[in-house]
Amino acid sequence: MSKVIEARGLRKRYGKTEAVKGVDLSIEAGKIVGLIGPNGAGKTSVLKAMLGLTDFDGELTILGRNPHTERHALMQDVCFIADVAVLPRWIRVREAIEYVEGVHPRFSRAKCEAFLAKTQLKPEMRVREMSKGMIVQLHLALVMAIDAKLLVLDEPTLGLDVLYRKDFYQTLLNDYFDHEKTIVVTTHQVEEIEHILTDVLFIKDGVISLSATMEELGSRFTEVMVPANQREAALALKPLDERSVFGKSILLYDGVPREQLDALGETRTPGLADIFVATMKGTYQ
Amino acid sequence: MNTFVTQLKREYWENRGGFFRAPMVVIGVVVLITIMGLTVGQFSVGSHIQMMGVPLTKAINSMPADKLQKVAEGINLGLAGMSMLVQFALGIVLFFYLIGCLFDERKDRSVLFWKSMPVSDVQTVLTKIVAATLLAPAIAWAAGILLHLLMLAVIGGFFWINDVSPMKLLWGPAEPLKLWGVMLAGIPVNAIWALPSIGWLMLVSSWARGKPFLWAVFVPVIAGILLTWFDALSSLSIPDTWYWKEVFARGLFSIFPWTFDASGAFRFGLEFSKDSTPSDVVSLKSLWMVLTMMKTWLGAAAGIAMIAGAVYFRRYRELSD
Repeated sequence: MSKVIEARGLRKRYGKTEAVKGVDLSIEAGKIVGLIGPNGAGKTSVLKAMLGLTDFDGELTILGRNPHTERHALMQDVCFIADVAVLPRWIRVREAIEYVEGVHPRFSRAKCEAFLAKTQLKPEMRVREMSKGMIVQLHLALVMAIDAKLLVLDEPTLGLDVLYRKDFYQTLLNDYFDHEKTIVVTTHQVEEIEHILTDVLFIKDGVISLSATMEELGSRFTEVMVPANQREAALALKPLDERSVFGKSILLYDGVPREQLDALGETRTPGLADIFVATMKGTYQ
Repeated sequence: MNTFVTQLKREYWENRGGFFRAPMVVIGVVVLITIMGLTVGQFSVGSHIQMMGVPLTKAINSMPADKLQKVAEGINLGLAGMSMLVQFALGIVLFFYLIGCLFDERKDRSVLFWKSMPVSDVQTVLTKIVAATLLAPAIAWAAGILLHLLMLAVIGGFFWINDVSPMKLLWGPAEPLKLWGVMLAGIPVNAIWALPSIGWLMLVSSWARGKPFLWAVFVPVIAGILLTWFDALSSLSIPDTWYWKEVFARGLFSIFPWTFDASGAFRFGLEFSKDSTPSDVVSLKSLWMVLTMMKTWLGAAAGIAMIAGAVYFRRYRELSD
């Protein structure tokens, strides 16, 4: 398997603050990776470095290229939505399609028009006349019609209602993704992407705090609901996190065998959001 | 090639107002004012227009050849002047186009969209230069022709109503073809002449974090004032008039087409004197003069260096969030 993203000791500093403090990454083709972290953890800096929008220290190659010095060549194979609502306000739907068709060799007008047919967008509409959701719809239609090897989505569904968000991820999975493509996605709506991810990366204070496949995550983390009399025994096993519901404690463990925990109470596989919250404790303190 | 054409189209879509509508508005206004003036003239004076006490029709018909020659000169001067009106509007449009062309995209963050496309920063900057030096001037050139045709028709019609042969007095002596040819030849020469201005405005546009207009204008103004002070306070003689003329004026305003005059001096705006009438400025001779001046090429080199700076900033300037 060829590496799509390879980083070693990736650092990025803005003045005195170091936003990224030595990130190591290795992502293969055919993955959908969630890059998840609290605000200010360095997510955006890592993504910007990957897309050639900023310089960096350390090693970073995307599809074998240095993104900072070879951005325009790299963009043949990489697509990104770096931020919502970055389409120029004066452009019309028709013009945006003609533009991307003209400059991008891997763009398919037919695909783009098929995506747009499902929306309210009309060819003559200008971005400035659109709602925030419509702008995102246009941007996604343009980007998903490009047959890229790597797609980077930074908060792609911000400002969209829940119906469209579900639909978007479904489309992404069914009509866009295949084993040769790689998708890196960041979002705060962790629950919504959980089921489509193959891998997950947690980033905290500029370093990768967790890197695992979804299967690994399921076998590593366990959540137990423990009655009050068992609590002492449960705490002895060093849970990552504890919260209480109706007088019972819910404890989350990393790397403790499930058989051992079954004895303490009812076990289940925690959601990605629960693991995220547990591992990020103390971020804002 | 396809990328280049698409990029150029994109510049046109964004700046249709300046590139296309502005010259059309100038034409509309000039033609409208002319029609209004002629209408008022027609009703108040009617067919009693006289020339030195003789009814115009008669005067024209008996006009001696040297007088007709003068009329022809006057007509061609008028045509060149009309072209200059359109060119002046073009200058204003280009000035603001260049100041905004690499700044606005950062301000509204659309640069993130443009940068997600496989287009290099060099390509982008060059496209914008082509838009400013060839595309917009070509449209303005065509607009100038349209203005000439409309004005010749309107004034000719007025003559015809008043029994004066437009052919003899207007259409015959007018030499628009020659003028159009020179105007067309002027496009590349103006582009070379304007390079320092193009470079400076684009450099500021790609560099400034805010208020590019103020940076573009006040940096050279303050530099000039400092130079003038030095000049006054010390025995060091830094030629500040040279600065204002060759650096300040050319760096900021050479984007206005035809701002060199026949004697090779820069003139701010379009100032015409007895020896540099529009038909003197708009001549192959003055174009050739511009090309033979050393300072034309020195300025062009400085302009190219600043364009390289603009490319650098377009490529490496980080977007502040």
